[in-house]
Amino acid sequence: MTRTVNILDLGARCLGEKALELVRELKRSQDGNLPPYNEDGIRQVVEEMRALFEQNQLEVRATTDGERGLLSGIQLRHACLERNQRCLLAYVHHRMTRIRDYRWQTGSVLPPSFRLSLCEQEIQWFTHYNRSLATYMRSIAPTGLDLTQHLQPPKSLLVEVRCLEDYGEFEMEDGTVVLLHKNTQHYLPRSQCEPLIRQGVLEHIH
Amino acid sequence: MVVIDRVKEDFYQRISSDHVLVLVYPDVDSLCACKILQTLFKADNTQYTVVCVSGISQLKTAFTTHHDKVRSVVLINCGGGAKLIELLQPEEHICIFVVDSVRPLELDNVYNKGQVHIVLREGEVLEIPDFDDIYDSDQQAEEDGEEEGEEFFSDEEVEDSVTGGKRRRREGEASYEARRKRHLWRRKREEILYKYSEFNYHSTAASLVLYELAWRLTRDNNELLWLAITGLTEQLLHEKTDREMYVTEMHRMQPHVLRLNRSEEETVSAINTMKINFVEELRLDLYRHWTIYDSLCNSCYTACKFKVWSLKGHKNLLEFLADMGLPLVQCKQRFSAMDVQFRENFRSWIDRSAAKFGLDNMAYGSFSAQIGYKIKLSAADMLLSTTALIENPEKSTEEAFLQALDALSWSNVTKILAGIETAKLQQAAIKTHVRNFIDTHQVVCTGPFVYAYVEEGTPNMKYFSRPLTLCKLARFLREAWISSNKRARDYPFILSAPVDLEKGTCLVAGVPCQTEETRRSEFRKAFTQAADRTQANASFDCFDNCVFEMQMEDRGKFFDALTALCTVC
Repeated sequence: MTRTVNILDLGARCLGEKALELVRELKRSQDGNLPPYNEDGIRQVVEEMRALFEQNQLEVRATTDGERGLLSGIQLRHACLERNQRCLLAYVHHRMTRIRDYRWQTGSVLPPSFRLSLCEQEIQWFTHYNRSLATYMRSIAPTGLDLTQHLQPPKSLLVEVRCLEDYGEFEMEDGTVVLLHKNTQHYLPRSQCEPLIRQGVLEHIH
Repeated sequence: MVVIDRVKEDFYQRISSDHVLVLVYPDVDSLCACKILQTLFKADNTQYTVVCVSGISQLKTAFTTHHDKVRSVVLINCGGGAKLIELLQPEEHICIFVVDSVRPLELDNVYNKGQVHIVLREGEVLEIPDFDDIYDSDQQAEEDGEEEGEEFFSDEEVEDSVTGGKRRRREGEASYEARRKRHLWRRKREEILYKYSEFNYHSTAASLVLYELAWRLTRDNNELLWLAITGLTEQLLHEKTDREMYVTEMHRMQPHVLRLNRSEEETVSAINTMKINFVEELRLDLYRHWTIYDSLCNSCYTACKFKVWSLKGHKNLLEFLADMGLPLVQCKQRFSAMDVQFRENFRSWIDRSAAKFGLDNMAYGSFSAQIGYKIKLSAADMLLSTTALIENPEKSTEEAFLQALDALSWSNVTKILAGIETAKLQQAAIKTHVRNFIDTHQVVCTGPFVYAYVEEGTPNMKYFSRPLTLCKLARFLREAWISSNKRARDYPFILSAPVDLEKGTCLVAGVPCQTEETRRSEFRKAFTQAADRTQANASFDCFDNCVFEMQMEDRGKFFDALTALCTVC
């Protein structure tokens, strides 16, 4: 009894609460931005785990020496340790997935706002991932194929676009020049229109 | 050059390999034709650019800005009557294809070999003068061209032939003969040209020509057929062709409708596909989307037959409703919200009562399309909605044009429904205006024609600064005027409305008289002559032959000159 009181003295209301907090934090932020790496929270969980582990060590030694009635306590603490480990791994893994998706959707450059939410190791991981992805994309085709361009296969080669502002002349890859005047409608190759659509000069008509 | 027989090879296959520039006039028929062409291009992965041109100057600007980027240009309902080579001065490699329903076509375009091609429907016969009657390929013609006919009998020649030798006399006689022949030829040519360009009228709609092309490419489907039907309906309802021609064209469309909309009892087809069928449509605008009462009051045909602006006429209308057996409360409710028994029997009741009240031509053959359970549109509804979208007063012409182009695809059918709401406002505005005109006796009947002005500052004036709506107002006003003055049926009607208050310009539209069943108008010639005589600042820029723009100060002089001109003829 006295030993469980020690753990309660750590300040946690009950075991595994802090780890669950971490996981909840990530779940709440799924629609929004990635929250900063919660070093504090992780440190606390690791502390808790260390305390539990040490307690367990003591009790295991005591049991081998012959004391009885400690086994349930050891099992409980072990289960708690495993739960904490699972929560921590989930936290780290989820963040990694989010960073990876960010690369696929946005690009290989980390803007400062995003960079702030990552810890050192995560930034390093991101650079490594970039490098591996680039090597792979280069290896597929001689000129390199940007797989992150079209996440869904395009339905057609050409798209219908409407010009929203006067852009002027636009030269396409095969040499034909198109004059992008305001309020004209064109049917042009998708790959060449995409940057202009993203800029807002052209509007995709379905 | 005229392309009739091998439309597929000579027209379509030539353009589908390059980037094409498509210049389109903003009216419903051209929009439908453009949409059909766009569908064909999309299927073939042909790149294109669509630009809206509402007048000759815009055509020229669009062409000059785009021409060095393209090799093929397609003009839809614009430029058929203008001298394209002179106006646009295209380079050698550029090919211009014209799909235009306006006649007469400019002869330079028809006889041009190589750069300008006119695309017609198979079986169409162009009534044009022979090449030899118009163009003299003889070299000497240019040398003697400066001589006037009066010089035939000049004394010098007689002297020459007398003082010179026999050879000179023979030469003199030969050249005198040649000159006389040339003079006669030139006079005949002028007569032929005058007669050729005297009347303006419309032939096959551009959307029908392109639909036929799609059919020959076996790429036609219900959507394209519906667009062709809308283009055809415009020709009837905007009075571009007469009823006979409409009926002929409709019969030509029937086989297509039957072929693409085979209803088989055994198989259950998906409810979300479009189905077109033939209906007898009433001349009640938008009645399925409006209340019966509003539709009766605001449709040109019924409003003018009943003369709803007068008290007696209004009572007549109420009598008509009573005779049909429709309670007034029901009539003032939206059609879709009326009781089922009234809705179902409405057609038969109205047919029965129409004859009693003198509404003879109430019904005409047309088509309607249905998608799913909710959306059912008749061709007239589609037409009114598209017109309202094209001439949306809140947007510029090009923007409104593109919005209307979007609305024509059935995936955007909500836009058509929104257009219907705008069309209702437009119709109501037109009718209010007509009522004002009749009440304030603003319609003036000078000898040879009837005219009226829309004053500046009238409410809803913004609707009437566009050609299509102005022509609609003119037609409505004309019908209303004729209902009180039967004599006026023989006279053409001219309406003028301010278009740009800053520049002080106004738009003038003419509606031809309907003595014969044909819709030929001589407005373009008459207007140009009158404007020349008064040196009025007028621009005949618009491709619509019955509409032109001029300065408001010159209006009075212009009408005087026009009166003088018409009294003479």
